[in-house]
Amino acid sequence: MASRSRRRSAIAEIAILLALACVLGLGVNILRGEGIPLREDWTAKKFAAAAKSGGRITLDLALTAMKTKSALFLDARPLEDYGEGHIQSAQSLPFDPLAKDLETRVKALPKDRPLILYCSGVSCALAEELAEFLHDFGYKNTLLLVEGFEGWTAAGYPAEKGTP
Amino acid sequence: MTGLRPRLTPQPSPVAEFFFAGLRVALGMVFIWAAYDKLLHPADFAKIVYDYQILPDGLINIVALLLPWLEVAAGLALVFNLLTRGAALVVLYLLIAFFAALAYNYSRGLNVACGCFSTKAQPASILLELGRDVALLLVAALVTRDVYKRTRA
Repeated sequence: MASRSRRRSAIAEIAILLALACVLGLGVNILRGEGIPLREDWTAKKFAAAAKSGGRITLDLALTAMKTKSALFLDARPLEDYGEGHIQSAQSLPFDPLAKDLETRVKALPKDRPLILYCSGVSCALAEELAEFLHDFGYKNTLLLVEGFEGWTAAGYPAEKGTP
Repeated sequence: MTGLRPRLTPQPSPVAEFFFAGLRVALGMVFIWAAYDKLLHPADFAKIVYDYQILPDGLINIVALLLPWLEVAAGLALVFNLLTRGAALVVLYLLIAFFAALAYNYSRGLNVACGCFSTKAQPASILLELGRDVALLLVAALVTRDVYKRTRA
Protein backbone atom coordinates (compact mmCIF):
# COMPACT_ATOMS: atom_id res chain seq x y z
CA MET A 1 0.00 0.00 0.00
CA ALA A 2 2.71 2.39 1.04
CA SER A 3 4.67 1.77 -2.12
CA ARG A 4 1.65 2.34 -4.31
CA SER A 5 0.78 5.73 -2.81
CA ARG A 6 4.43 6.66 -3.02
CA ARG A 7 4.52 5.86 -6.72
CA ARG A 8 1.37 7.86 -7.29
CA SER A 9 2.80 10.84 -5.49
CA ALA A 10 6.05 10.64 -7.48
CA ILE A 11 4.00 10.70 -10.68
CA ALA A 12 1.99 13.62 -9.32
CA GLU A 13 5.22 15.45 -8.53
CA ILE A 14 6.55 14.82 -12.05
CA ALA A 15 3.25 16.15 -13.43
CA ILE A 16 3.59 19.32 -11.33
CA LEU A 17 7.16 19.85 -12.58
CA LEU A 18 6.07 19.31 -16.19
CA ALA A 19 3.18 21.73 -15.77
CA LEU A 20 5.53 24.32 -14.27
CA ALA A 21 7.89 23.91 -17.23
CA CYS A 22 4.99 24.36 -19.67
CA VAL A 23 3.68 27.51 -17.96
CA LEU A 24 7.13 29.06 -17.59
CA GLY A 25 8.41 28.04 -21.00
CA LEU A 26 5.39 29.23 -22.96
CA GLY A 27 4.76 32.23 -20.71
CA VAL A 28 8.29 33.57 -20.89
CA ASN A 29 8.38 32.98 -24.64
CA ILE A 30 5.30 35.19 -25.03
CA LEU A 31 6.49 37.85 -22.59
CA ARG A 32 10.02 38.23 -23.89
CA GLY A 33 8.80 39.75 -27.18
CA GLU A 34 11.50 38.15 -29.29
CA GLY A 35 10.14 34.67 -28.65
CA ILE A 36 10.29 31.85 -31.17
CA PRO A 37 7.25 30.42 -33.00
CA LEU A 38 5.90 27.19 -31.52
CA ARG A 39 6.14 25.39 -34.85
CA GLU A 40 8.62 25.85 -37.64
CA ASP A 41 9.46 23.86 -40.77
CA TRP A 42 13.07 23.35 -39.80
CA THR A 43 14.20 21.18 -42.70
CA ALA A 44 12.86 23.67 -45.21
CA LYS A 45 14.49 26.52 -43.26
CA LYS A 46 17.86 24.83 -43.21
CA PHE A 47 17.90 23.98 -46.91
CA ALA A 48 16.52 27.39 -47.85
CA ALA A 49 19.45 28.96 -46.03
CA ALA A 50 21.84 26.72 -47.96
CA ALA A 51 20.11 27.56 -51.24
CA LYS A 52 20.37 31.28 -50.46
CA SER A 53 24.10 31.01 -49.93
CA GLY A 54 24.56 30.32 -53.65
CA GLY A 55 22.81 26.97 -53.77
CA ARG A 56 25.77 25.20 -52.22
CA ILE A 57 25.75 22.63 -49.50
CA THR A 58 28.66 21.87 -47.22
CA LEU A 59 30.08 18.36 -46.93
CA ASP A 60 28.93 18.14 -43.31
CA LEU A 61 25.36 19.19 -44.01
CA ALA A 62 25.30 16.81 -46.97
CA LEU A 63 26.40 13.98 -44.67
CA THR A 64 23.58 14.85 -42.28
CA ALA A 65 21.13 14.87 -45.20
CA MET A 66 22.38 11.45 -46.30
CA LYS A 67 22.15 9.90 -42.84
CA THR A 68 18.68 11.26 -42.24
CA LYS A 69 17.48 10.70 -45.82
CA SER A 70 16.20 14.28 -45.87
CA ALA A 71 17.46 14.89 -49.42
CA LEU A 72 18.00 12.90 -52.61
CA PHE A 73 21.54 12.70 -53.98
CA LEU A 74 21.98 12.83 -57.74
CA ASP A 75 25.22 11.75 -59.37
CA ALA A 76 25.64 13.77 -62.59
CA ARG A 77 28.67 11.81 -63.85
CA PRO A 78 28.51 9.14 -66.58
CA LEU A 79 27.11 5.80 -65.45
CA GLU A 80 30.55 4.10 -65.61
CA ASP A 81 31.95 6.54 -63.04
CA TYR A 82 28.91 6.02 -60.87
CA GLY A 83 29.45 2.25 -61.00
CA GLU A 84 33.06 2.59 -59.87
CA GLY A 85 31.97 4.43 -56.74
CA HIS A 86 29.39 6.97 -55.62
CA ILE A 87 27.94 8.58 -52.53
CA GLN A 88 25.95 6.05 -50.56
CA SER A 89 22.25 6.06 -51.54
CA ALA A 90 22.87 8.42 -54.49
CA GLN A 91 20.90 7.94 -57.68
CA SER A 92 22.64 8.06 -61.06
CA LEU A 93 21.47 10.83 -63.38
CA PRO A 94 24.25 11.45 -65.93
CA PHE A 95 23.93 14.89 -67.43
CA ASP A 96 23.93 14.30 -71.15
CA PRO A 97 21.70 16.82 -72.97
CA LEU A 98 21.64 14.53 -75.99
CA ALA A 99 20.30 11.55 -74.09
CA LYS A 100 16.72 10.92 -75.12
CA ASP A 101 15.54 9.72 -71.76
CA LEU A 102 16.95 12.65 -69.74
CA GLU A 103 13.67 14.51 -69.78
CA THR A 104 11.59 11.54 -68.61
CA ARG A 105 14.12 10.74 -65.92
CA VAL A 106 14.08 14.32 -64.67
CA LYS A 107 10.30 14.40 -64.60
CA ALA A 108 10.28 11.27 -62.44
CA LEU A 109 12.23 13.03 -59.68
CA PRO A 110 10.39 13.94 -56.47
CA LYS A 111 9.48 17.61 -56.17
CA ASP A 112 9.03 17.62 -52.40
CA ARG A 113 12.60 16.67 -51.51
CA PRO A 114 15.74 18.77 -51.75
CA LEU A 115 18.06 17.45 -54.45
CA ILE A 116 21.80 17.40 -53.84
CA LEU A 117 23.82 17.32 -57.04
CA TYR A 118 27.46 16.41 -57.46
CA CYS A 119 30.01 15.28 -59.99
CA SER A 120 33.66 14.28 -59.66
CA GLY A 121 35.10 17.32 -57.92
CA VAL A 122 35.47 21.07 -57.69
CA SER A 123 36.45 21.46 -61.34
CA CYS A 124 33.67 19.44 -62.97
CA ALA A 125 30.69 21.23 -64.51
CA LEU A 126 28.18 18.40 -64.92
CA ALA A 127 26.39 18.96 -61.62
CA GLU A 128 26.03 22.67 -62.22
CA GLU A 129 24.64 22.11 -65.71
CA LEU A 130 22.25 19.50 -64.37
CA ALA A 131 21.10 22.05 -61.76
CA GLU A 132 20.27 24.57 -64.49
CA PHE A 133 18.45 21.89 -66.45
CA LEU A 134 16.43 20.93 -63.35
CA HIS A 135 15.55 24.56 -62.68
CA ASP A 136 13.98 24.77 -66.12
CA PHE A 137 11.75 21.87 -65.16
CA GLY A 138 10.61 23.56 -61.99
CA TYR A 139 13.02 21.99 -59.51
CA LYS A 140 14.11 24.99 -57.47
CA ASN A 141 15.21 23.07 -54.39
CA THR A 142 18.59 21.96 -55.71
CA LEU A 143 21.86 22.17 -53.85
CA LEU A 144 25.32 21.77 -55.24
CA LEU A 145 27.91 19.70 -53.44
CA VAL A 146 30.84 21.57 -54.93
CA GLU A 147 33.53 19.29 -53.46
CA GLY A 148 32.04 16.41 -55.46
CA PHE A 149 32.76 12.73 -55.03
CA GLU A 150 36.49 13.39 -54.56
CA GLY A 151 35.85 15.69 -51.61
CA TRP A 152 33.34 13.22 -50.20
CA THR A 153 35.76 10.29 -50.22
CA ALA A 154 38.64 12.50 -49.02
CA ALA A 155 36.51 13.31 -45.99
CA GLY A 156 36.05 9.60 -45.42
CA TYR A 157 32.28 9.73 -45.84
CA PRO A 158 30.34 6.58 -46.86
CA ALA A 159 30.46 5.54 -50.49
CA GLU A 160 29.35 2.44 -52.37
CA LYS A 161 30.00 0.73 -55.70
CA GLY A 162 27.88 -0.76 -58.46
CA THR A 163 24.96 0.22 -60.63
CA PRO A 164 21.33 -0.55 -59.87
CA MET B 1 2.35 -3.26 11.45
CA THR B 2 3.53 -0.63 9.06
CA GLY B 3 3.53 1.89 11.87
CA LEU B 4 6.30 0.00 13.62
CA ARG B 5 8.55 -0.14 10.62
CA PRO B 6 10.30 3.21 10.73
CA ARG B 7 11.51 2.46 14.26
CA LEU B 8 12.93 -0.88 13.17
CA THR B 9 14.96 0.44 10.23
CA PRO B 10 18.39 1.70 11.27
CA GLN B 11 18.71 5.47 11.25
CA PRO B 12 21.21 6.79 8.69
CA SER B 13 24.26 8.43 10.18
CA PRO B 14 24.39 12.25 10.11
CA VAL B 15 27.48 12.05 7.93
CA ALA B 16 25.64 10.01 5.30
CA GLU B 17 22.67 12.34 5.52
CA PHE B 18 24.92 15.35 4.98
CA PHE B 19 26.68 13.62 2.09
CA PHE B 20 23.46 12.80 0.25
CA ALA B 21 22.01 16.26 0.86
CA GLY B 22 25.19 17.68 -0.67
CA LEU B 23 24.88 15.41 -3.70
CA ARG B 24 21.24 16.39 -4.17
CA VAL B 25 21.96 20.14 -4.01
CA ALA B 26 24.95 19.80 -6.33
CA LEU B 27 22.95 17.81 -8.88
CA GLY B 28 20.19 20.43 -8.75
CA MET B 29 22.68 23.23 -9.30
CA VAL B 30 24.25 21.44 -12.28
CA PHE B 31 20.81 21.27 -13.87
CA ILE B 32 20.06 24.95 -13.24
CA TRP B 33 23.47 25.91 -14.63
CA ALA B 34 22.96 23.69 -17.68
CA ALA B 35 19.64 25.36 -18.46
CA TYR B 36 20.82 28.95 -18.11
CA ASP B 37 22.32 29.50 -21.58
CA LYS B 38 19.47 27.62 -23.26
CA LEU B 39 16.92 29.86 -21.53
CA LEU B 40 18.66 32.95 -22.84
CA HIS B 41 18.96 31.71 -26.43
CA PRO B 42 15.92 29.61 -27.34
CA ALA B 43 16.41 30.01 -31.09
CA ASP B 44 20.01 28.76 -30.91
CA PHE B 45 18.95 25.88 -28.73
CA ALA B 46 16.13 25.00 -31.15
CA LYS B 47 18.70 24.75 -33.92
CA ILE B 48 20.73 22.29 -31.86
CA VAL B 49 17.61 20.24 -31.13
CA TYR B 50 17.00 20.18 -34.89
CA ASP B 51 20.59 19.15 -35.60
CA TYR B 52 20.13 16.08 -33.44
CA GLN B 53 17.77 14.86 -36.21
CA ILE B 54 15.67 12.83 -33.81
CA LEU B 55 12.44 14.77 -33.31
CA PRO B 56 10.00 15.69 -36.09
CA ASP B 57 10.13 19.32 -37.21
CA GLY B 58 6.85 20.17 -35.49
CA LEU B 59 8.19 19.32 -32.03
CA ILE B 60 11.57 21.08 -32.24
CA ASN B 61 10.58 24.50 -30.92
CA ILE B 62 8.23 23.19 -28.22
CA VAL B 63 10.98 20.96 -26.83
CA ALA B 64 13.52 23.78 -27.09
CA LEU B 65 11.19 26.03 -25.08
CA LEU B 66 10.12 23.56 -22.40
CA LEU B 67 13.19 21.41 -21.80
CA PRO B 68 15.36 24.11 -20.16
CA TRP B 69 12.51 25.11 -17.87
CA LEU B 70 11.96 21.50 -16.90
CA GLU B 71 15.65 21.34 -16.02
CA VAL B 72 15.34 24.51 -13.95
CA ALA B 73 12.18 23.32 -12.19
CA ALA B 74 13.71 19.94 -11.34
CA GLY B 75 17.00 21.57 -10.37
CA LEU B 76 15.35 24.06 -8.00
CA ALA B 77 13.19 21.31 -6.53
CA LEU B 78 16.31 19.26 -5.76
CA VAL B 79 18.15 22.23 -4.24
CA PHE B 80 15.24 23.21 -1.99
CA ASN B 81 14.14 19.64 -1.27
CA LEU B 82 10.62 20.16 -2.62
CA LEU B 83 8.77 17.61 -4.79
CA THR B 84 12.02 15.74 -4.36
CA ARG B 85 10.94 12.31 -5.53
CA GLY B 86 9.46 13.67 -8.74
CA ALA B 87 12.46 15.93 -9.33
CA ALA B 88 14.95 13.10 -8.81
CA LEU B 89 13.06 10.92 -11.27
CA VAL B 90 12.77 13.72 -13.85
CA VAL B 91 16.54 14.28 -13.66
CA LEU B 92 17.18 10.55 -13.91
CA TYR B 93 14.90 10.13 -16.94
CA LEU B 94 16.33 13.22 -18.67
CA LEU B 95 19.89 11.96 -18.25
CA ILE B 96 18.89 8.58 -19.70
CA ALA B 97 17.20 10.33 -22.64
CA PHE B 98 20.27 12.54 -23.22
CA PHE B 99 22.51 9.48 -23.17
CA ALA B 100 20.31 7.70 -25.69
CA ALA B 101 20.23 10.74 -28.01
CA LEU B 102 24.01 11.25 -27.87
CA ALA B 103 24.75 7.55 -28.31
CA TYR B 104 22.30 7.24 -31.21
CA ASN B 105 23.94 10.10 -33.12
CA TYR B 106 27.40 8.79 -32.27
CA SER B 107 26.46 5.38 -33.67
CA ARG B 108 25.20 6.80 -36.96
CA GLY B 109 28.18 9.10 -37.33
CA LEU B 110 26.43 12.45 -36.90
CA ASN B 111 28.66 15.04 -35.32
CA VAL B 112 26.22 17.28 -33.50
CA ALA B 113 26.86 20.10 -31.05
CA CYS B 114 26.00 18.68 -27.63
CA GLY B 115 23.84 21.57 -26.43
CA CYS B 116 24.30 20.16 -22.97
CA PHE B 117 25.60 23.18 -21.09
CA SER B 118 25.77 25.78 -23.84
CA THR B 119 24.13 26.73 -27.11
CA LYS B 120 27.52 27.40 -28.73
CA ALA B 121 28.97 24.73 -30.93
CA GLN B 122 32.08 23.57 -29.14
CA PRO B 123 34.52 21.06 -30.52
CA ALA B 124 34.15 18.44 -27.83
CA SER B 125 34.59 14.73 -27.88
CA ILE B 126 31.30 12.89 -27.86
CA LEU B 127 32.85 10.21 -25.67
CA LEU B 128 33.62 12.87 -23.08
CA GLU B 129 30.00 14.03 -23.25
CA LEU B 130 28.75 10.46 -22.85
CA GLY B 131 31.11 9.96 -19.90
CA ARG B 132 29.88 13.15 -18.26
CA ASP B 133 26.30 12.00 -18.72
CA VAL B 134 27.06 8.63 -17.13
CA ALA B 135 28.76 10.34 -14.17
CA LEU B 136 25.71 12.54 -13.61
CA LEU B 137 23.51 9.48 -14.06
CA LEU B 138 25.34 7.74 -11.22
CA VAL B 139 24.88 10.75 -8.96
CA ALA B 140 21.20 10.96 -9.91
CA ALA B 141 20.74 7.26 -9.15
CA LEU B 142 22.34 7.69 -5.71
CA VAL B 143 20.19 10.74 -4.97
CA THR B 144 17.01 8.99 -6.13
CA ARG B 145 17.79 5.96 -3.98
CA ASP B 146 18.45 8.17 -0.96
CA VAL B 147 15.30 10.22 -1.49
CA TYR B 148 13.20 7.06 -1.67
CA LYS B 149 14.87 5.64 1.43
CA ARG B 150 14.24 8.78 3.46
CA THR B 151 10.61 9.06 2.43
CA ARG B 152 9.75 5.44 3.20
CA ALA B 153 6.54 4.66 5.14
